Amino acid sequence: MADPAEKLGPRAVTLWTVAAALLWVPILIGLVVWAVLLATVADRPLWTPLLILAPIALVVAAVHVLVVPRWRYAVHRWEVSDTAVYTRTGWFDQERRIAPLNRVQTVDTERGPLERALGLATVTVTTASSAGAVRIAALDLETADRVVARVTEAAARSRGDAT
Amino acid sequence: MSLPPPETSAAAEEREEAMPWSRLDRRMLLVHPVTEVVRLLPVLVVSLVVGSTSGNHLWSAIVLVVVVAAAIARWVTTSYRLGPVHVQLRTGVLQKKVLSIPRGRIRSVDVQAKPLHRLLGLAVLTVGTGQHAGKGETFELNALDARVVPALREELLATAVAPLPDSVDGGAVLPAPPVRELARVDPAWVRYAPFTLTGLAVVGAAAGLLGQSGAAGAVASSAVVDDTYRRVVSLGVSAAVAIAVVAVLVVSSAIAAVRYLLVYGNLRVTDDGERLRVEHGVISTRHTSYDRARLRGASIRRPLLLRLAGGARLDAVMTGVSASEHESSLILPPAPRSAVTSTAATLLPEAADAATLPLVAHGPIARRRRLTRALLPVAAIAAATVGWAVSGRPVPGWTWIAVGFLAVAAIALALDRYAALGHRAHPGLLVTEHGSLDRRRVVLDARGVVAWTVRQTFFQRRAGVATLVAATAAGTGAYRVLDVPVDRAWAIAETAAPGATDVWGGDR
Repeated sequence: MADPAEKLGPRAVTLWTVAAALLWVPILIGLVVWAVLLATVADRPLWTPLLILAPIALVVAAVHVLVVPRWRYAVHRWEVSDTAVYTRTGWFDQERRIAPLNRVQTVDTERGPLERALGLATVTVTTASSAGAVRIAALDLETADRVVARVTEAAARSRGDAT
Repeated sequence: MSLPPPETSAAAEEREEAMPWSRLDRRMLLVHPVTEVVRLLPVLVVSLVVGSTSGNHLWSAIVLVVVVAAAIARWVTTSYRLGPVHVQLRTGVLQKKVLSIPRGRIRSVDVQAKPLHRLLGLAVLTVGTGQHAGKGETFELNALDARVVPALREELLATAVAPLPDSVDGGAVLPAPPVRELARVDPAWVRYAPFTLTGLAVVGAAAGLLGQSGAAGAVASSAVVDDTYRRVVSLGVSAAVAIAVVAVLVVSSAIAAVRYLLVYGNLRVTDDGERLRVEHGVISTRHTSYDRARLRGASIRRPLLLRLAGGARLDAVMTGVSASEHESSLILPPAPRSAVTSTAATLLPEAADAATLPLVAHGPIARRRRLTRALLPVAAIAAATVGWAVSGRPVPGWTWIAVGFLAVAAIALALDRYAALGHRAHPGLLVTEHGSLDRRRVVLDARGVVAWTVRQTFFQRRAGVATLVAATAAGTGAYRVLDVPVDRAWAIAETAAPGATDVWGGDR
């Protein structure tokens, strides 16, 4: 079984890195505030929980922000043939999914604030089963439009109710 | 009441807009208050208590009035319209909602009648579509006159089946195909009822209710129970436990048997080539018609207990009929395995031997993974126990016996799970089986698969196996072939659905 041919653009890594960082910033700020409070306010400061939690949080955050986006980028691939759409996604757990275009029900483009800022879009191709939706994340806008046009056209050509 | 034949033209749509909305049967004014009262029983009890302590029974009266008013409001605000293009249901007291289903999207029609409905000559008609409807989004007409329902059911489903019989053979109308009986429950099969968990569930629920309501205290302090308790305890702890277990088993078996007879005792499955009909129920009745063209396979379930008793149950895998809903796709309740096998064969003539077909095993890696996964929790418990002992705290001797017992049980479970694990692919057909406590074999029409997924967790990648997932619009939505060698996963998909791997399958 061949892999899908297309890789994502390098901005995908930026997107995932920023998204992960935004998740971790409040947690790290919380830890700093905790430390400051212990140092200034507390009479008999109890440092043990913080000294255990902080290093764990730092390591997990570092992996999530620095390693996972690159790992994901290395895995993620996609390709649309004349008759099917094929993706490889995931990082720790990975999956490959093929959906024939004549089974496609809807094609959506999604753009969150981060994706808009980076000029990216996520294309979701749904089928009649929730376990059969094909998602291509972090495509650059131009490619996303092309994919949507192509899949929509192929889906419109097919007959039946796609079940 | 009669239903206009289905059309889709603009003119038909206009006529539909002009159609009046109808109300549900007036007799529901009697049913709604009763069901509402039953549903609000806790509130009523509280209001009664409040009323009697404060000496003011106005509270109970107010609650009762509100309940009845709500029931009437529900009846007044619910109306429906069965037009040539859509069937529509308008509901909502405060928040209005119109649910509209195109006639061509109707996949199943379900008719149910609870005792109160039957007493009043009513029936609840539910229209099923391909969508997984959330709560409050089901098209349910609760309720209609039971006499008009059978005709309505036929007319509603008429659109779902490919029509135009008169265009075949130059205008001659084809004779209706003969009605075949696929299955009928033999009341003797009630012997399989105790091997399900229904009885235990009822006993558990009853015990919970007693405990919560405080009635348990009253029961426990009654003279009879007290006397029995004393006598049983005087026999010693192990005898007392044994007696309790036997008592629970006897009671739950009896409940399961009675329920089986009342719900399934008269179950009948028929097939006229276009529709599949399942009817059952002695007190509450249920009649479901499915569009046969939507049948995508069958699922044969053999949970551990039922399997030990030589039984099985059969469900249909059907587009637009969610398998997650309770009993919505039931074909046969717990029944002898031979009956399930033969019914499955008549249900799916193109896969007649699929129920008993020997499957392709998944190999030593899959077996090792079953063992690892079953033994890991046991290993954790054992490690914790050893740690406890090493730290110098006393460990009672039975703990070691329990850990040993757990390990043996885990190994037995793992090997049993591996024994079931298997698949078989033929063009147009995928058969997969797995599980031990809840073993099921699914026979799936691979033409109904809308997407194929090969999933590998980190550990599966290291082990070189993968899980193949066939996504379909039918049944549970996804059927899995667990832990097949990774190089075989796509080959299975390609065999079952030639062309599934598209341009990526061969060497490019």
